Amino acid sequence: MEAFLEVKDVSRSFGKQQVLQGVSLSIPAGRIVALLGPNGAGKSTLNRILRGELAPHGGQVKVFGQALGTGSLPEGVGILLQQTGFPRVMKVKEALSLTASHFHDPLPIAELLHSLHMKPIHHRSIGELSGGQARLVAFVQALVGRPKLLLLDEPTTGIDLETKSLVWQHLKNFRSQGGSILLATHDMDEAEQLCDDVLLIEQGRVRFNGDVESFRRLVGGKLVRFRAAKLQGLETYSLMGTTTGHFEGLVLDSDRFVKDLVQSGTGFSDLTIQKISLGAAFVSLLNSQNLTRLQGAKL
Amino acid sequence: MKLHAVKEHYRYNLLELSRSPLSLVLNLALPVMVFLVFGAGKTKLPEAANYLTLSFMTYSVLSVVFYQFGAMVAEARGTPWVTTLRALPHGWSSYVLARIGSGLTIALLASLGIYAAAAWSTPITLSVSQTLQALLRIVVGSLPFALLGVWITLFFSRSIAVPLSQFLYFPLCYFGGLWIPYENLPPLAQILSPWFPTRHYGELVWATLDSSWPYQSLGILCGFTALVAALIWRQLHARNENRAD
Repeated sequence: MEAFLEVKDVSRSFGKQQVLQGVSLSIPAGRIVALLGPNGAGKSTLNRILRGELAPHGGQVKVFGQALGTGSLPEGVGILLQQTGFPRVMKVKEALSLTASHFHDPLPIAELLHSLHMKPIHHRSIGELSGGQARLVAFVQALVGRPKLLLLDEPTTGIDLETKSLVWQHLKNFRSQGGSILLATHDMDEAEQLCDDVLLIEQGRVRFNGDVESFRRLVGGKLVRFRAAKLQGLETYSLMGTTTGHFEGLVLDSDRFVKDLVQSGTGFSDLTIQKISLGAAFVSLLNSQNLTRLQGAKL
Repeated sequence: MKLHAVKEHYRYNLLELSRSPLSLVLNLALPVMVFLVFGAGKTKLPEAANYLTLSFMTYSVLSVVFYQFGAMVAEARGTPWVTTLRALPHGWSSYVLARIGSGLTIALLASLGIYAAAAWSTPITLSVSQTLQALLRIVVGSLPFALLGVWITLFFSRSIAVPLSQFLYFPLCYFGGLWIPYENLPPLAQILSPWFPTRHYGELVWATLDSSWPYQSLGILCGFTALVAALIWRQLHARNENRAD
């Protein structure tokens, strides 16, 4: 089956500065890909290329099998920029009607607003909304054209927890109906909750491109956590004390660690062993030692 | 281009203007004020009053479609709202056409304001059919200048586009003979005048007075329109080398 979004060997520079180099990515139907990377990694430039704002200097981008130029995106793609910037005097309903007017078969706006509990604000001006509410309007704007592919940049920034879970549920439903998403985010909890795959960019190059579990496996190990008054005989492990009287750390072989913990004579309780979080894996992979490991890994 | 999208943008642009009534009043009042100060008292002859009225009506439309419209698009460009609009199907073309349409609507209202001021303060003898024909010529003739405004906003960065529009606006009006009849310009300005497209825009409108068609000026305006349209097309299809917005 053809990928909804296909990025092949894309490069882009600004003057002498190479911002993207040989970036490739493929998103088939029904997948959510987390676009991760530290600040300045090239995520925004990649997003701008995918939105048709910038042309790549090398490589190709295909959306629904068609080469993407600069300018408008085809129907079936919804976008949400990192910043929300509707005109302040514009009313919520107007912003969404204007967006809907560009599509042949837009979603009923009233239905969309209702599903996100936005009905009470649809007659209000954007200038009267909180940052989170305006963000929600931008999210609905991305959905108006019945997209099959969403390009989302930090979609839930500023949104309260309750609404955030509503947005996440929407995105999960979107995926279950065959929709695909490229999700640029710094919120690792969000990436953890939603994403099937990870594209990690660092200094304009792809450092990892694969599923979430493989991403975790690259770092390896598990997160151990236990309560103890004092540690003894566990110097080979990198464990940190917390303010709640716990110690925690990343261990490569959890069975071996439990054995060593018992044998060390440390008095402990409440031991938990969890798989490494996406956030911890991300931070761990971005240290230089692990990047070297990534570069040598078969991706 | 999708007509429904253009209509929705046009409707919203007018709504947006109506929500800033002071700005709307100023937009309409400024050209009338300029006419009353610099045009109305200049003549007691009906023919000269007709000529001046048409000149100032042309100037009022030019100021909206070229300067104000260009400045508005330049200000909006690069904002998240317009960036999102540009990514929508037919996004940019619908947005720009609706801006031109709403700009022209305001410009037409402003030029009707000038007509009313002229009827009140000068001995004009323009018939209804002459006035309607002049308005049609003013609107159609403004197209290349609206396109020039668009090209400037596309080609130059936001910080340059607005002052550049201001810089070009003055000589376009002055050398075109829209403020002072070109026969009354200083000798050097009279020599330069035919090289300005606004002079031919003026010729097209002034010819309403004797119901003629200035074919040479029409040809020059058509050529100028084609040139600016080609520049816009080239700009839209050019790869955005090193552009920050």
